[in-house]
Amino acid sequence: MSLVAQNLSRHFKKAQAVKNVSLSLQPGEIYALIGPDGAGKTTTLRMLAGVLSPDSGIVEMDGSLLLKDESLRSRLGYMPQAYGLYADLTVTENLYFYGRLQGMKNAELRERSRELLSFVRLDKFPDRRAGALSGGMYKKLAIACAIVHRPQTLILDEPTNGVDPVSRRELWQLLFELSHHGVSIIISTPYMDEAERAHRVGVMMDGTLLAEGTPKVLLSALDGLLLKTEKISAAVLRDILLDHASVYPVGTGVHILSGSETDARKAIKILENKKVASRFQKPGFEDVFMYFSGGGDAGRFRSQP
Amino acid sequence: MRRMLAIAWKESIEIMRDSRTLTLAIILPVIMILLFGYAINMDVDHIPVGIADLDHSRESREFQQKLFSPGWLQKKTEHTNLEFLEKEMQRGNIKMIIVLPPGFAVSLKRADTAQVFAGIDGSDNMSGSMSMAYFQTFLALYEMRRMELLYGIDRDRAPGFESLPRIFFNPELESRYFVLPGIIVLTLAVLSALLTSISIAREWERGSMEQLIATPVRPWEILYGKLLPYIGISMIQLTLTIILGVFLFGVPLRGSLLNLFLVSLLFSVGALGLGLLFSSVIKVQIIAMQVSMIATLLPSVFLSGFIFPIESMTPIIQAFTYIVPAKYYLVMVRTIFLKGSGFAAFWAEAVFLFVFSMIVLNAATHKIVKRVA
Repeated sequence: MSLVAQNLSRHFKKAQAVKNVSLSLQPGEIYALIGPDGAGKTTTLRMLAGVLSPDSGIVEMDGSLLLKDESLRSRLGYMPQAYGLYADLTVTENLYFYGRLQGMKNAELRERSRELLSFVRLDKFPDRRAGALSGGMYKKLAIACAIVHRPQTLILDEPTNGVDPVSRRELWQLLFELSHHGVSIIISTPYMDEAERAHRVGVMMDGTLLAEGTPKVLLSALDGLLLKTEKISAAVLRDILLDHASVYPVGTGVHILSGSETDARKAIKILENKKVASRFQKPGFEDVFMYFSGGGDAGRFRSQP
Repeated sequence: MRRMLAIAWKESIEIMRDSRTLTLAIILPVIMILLFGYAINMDVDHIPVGIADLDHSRESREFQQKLFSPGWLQKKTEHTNLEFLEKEMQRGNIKMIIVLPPGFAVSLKRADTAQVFAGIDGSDNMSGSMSMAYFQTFLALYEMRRMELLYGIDRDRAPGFESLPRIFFNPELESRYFVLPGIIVLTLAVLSALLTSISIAREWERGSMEQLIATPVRPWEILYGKLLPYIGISMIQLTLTIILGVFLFGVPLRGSLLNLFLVSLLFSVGALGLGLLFSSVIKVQIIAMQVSMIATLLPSVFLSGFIFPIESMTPIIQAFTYIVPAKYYLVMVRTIFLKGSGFAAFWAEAVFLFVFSMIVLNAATHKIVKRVA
């Protein structure tokens, strides 16, 4: 294990931001933490990065406590949500700065920055000020700064937030390459579709890690539970189905998610009686989130797997 | 050490590329010293006077000529109507009214008491009291001269006191010599703290502090790394103010330039540390700036002895001035500039500044907590 967190809890004033979260990262693994805003993802990642002390619980790297051993920080790369590159410094200067903070020497940094700029496709802009980079380029440079010292674990808080689809795809490509080189990565994202690209996914809500597993395992939990219907509004369906399912619009249709196969069968029967056509639907991660969060905001049930 | 130098390197680049910081660091001290140098002049000179010569005699004209020739008092208007002169004073055109009554010349010739009325503008305390002091000195000298003429007394042989005044360090009592060292203190105190007050708060506001915290960098490395380039800026500010003070305003630098730089280094480390302390506690640039401005400007102006003599303050306020670093620095700068003395003359002040700097830097280091909350 490259990183292990046990029973992390943290509160802010009266709000309990994170409750007893435990997770671990394998070398070369990409772990995606999904959940809505306020789920506790950022607080969890901050505690994993050692920039926030937990009220209780521990974070270990290679068997040592992160908060007790400053040297462990050089094995960690962290990119916070509000990543603040130095706008007046050039791309190369930003890399040099973070490299020097990690104790790297100039000769090593020259080689590493060339390699990294090529890796993040910024090799054409070494002298451009960070403040003049586009959103996607900025995020790529931020990742480069976070990995300049070759960390074994990388913590990324919503790195794809506010990035265009092309840059998002490129960022994920970078993560796959890092993972291929043995770097374990934990990434938080509000985009459910990104979870499918990870090796393992944790679903968070209200500060609690509701479920975790491979995308395949999590998706299979919804086998036979998800129906789709069209040409009828979610509000009308909710009145028809009452507590038998969670109903939420997805694209042009409406998804009907039951807590169990029995409830799904009941839902089909009710819809047939009302002459509403429905069919089973292959679930996506939005449905996984709705399932494990008990229906989210649109929830009518609180079933657990 | 390498991490501290990395912070110092990054900070230096940011300063050099940020025109606002550069303006604040280099242009503002020049503006301040020019503004204060020309504006703060405690030498009361050319005070505008309105005179009513109701005697119209040769003696009264001679009196006027002697009164105004040194230039301290300047005849702005002459009118026999006192109401007119009072209105002129109300408008602020004159600061003093002198009335030579009818019979002035006759009284002088008869060795009688010659009355002269003098009224000052009390709304301008400084020029009012100074002009009255000048006028009374003039009258005393004039009276003495009259005695010589009337009774043939030879002052050199007459018994009595003879004053042998000697003014040390500033024989001409040039207020510029006295004020400019104060402006150096003010410039260094205010601008040093102001520059660093935004330094750490800026890291918090743009989110880079969280990133710094995640690295192995230690709080003292952040603090001293940020301090180093600003020490350089303070020394540039000092150089500029010394050059302007000496070459533009003609203030003599009688002591050692090296001593001046050494004590300024001691003071600026404390002032910069104070800014860093505010910045690390407050974490919001604009508030940190305002707090450091108030915390440095007010004591430097009012409690350092720059403008108001500490001896004339109430005991409580006097006691409070003992914790104002600018007070000690001002003593040292004036001593070096005007007295030309060495460290032996101000070692106690230097020890205070050293202790103050250490306390402030220590407190600032402890306030840079490597956690986001």
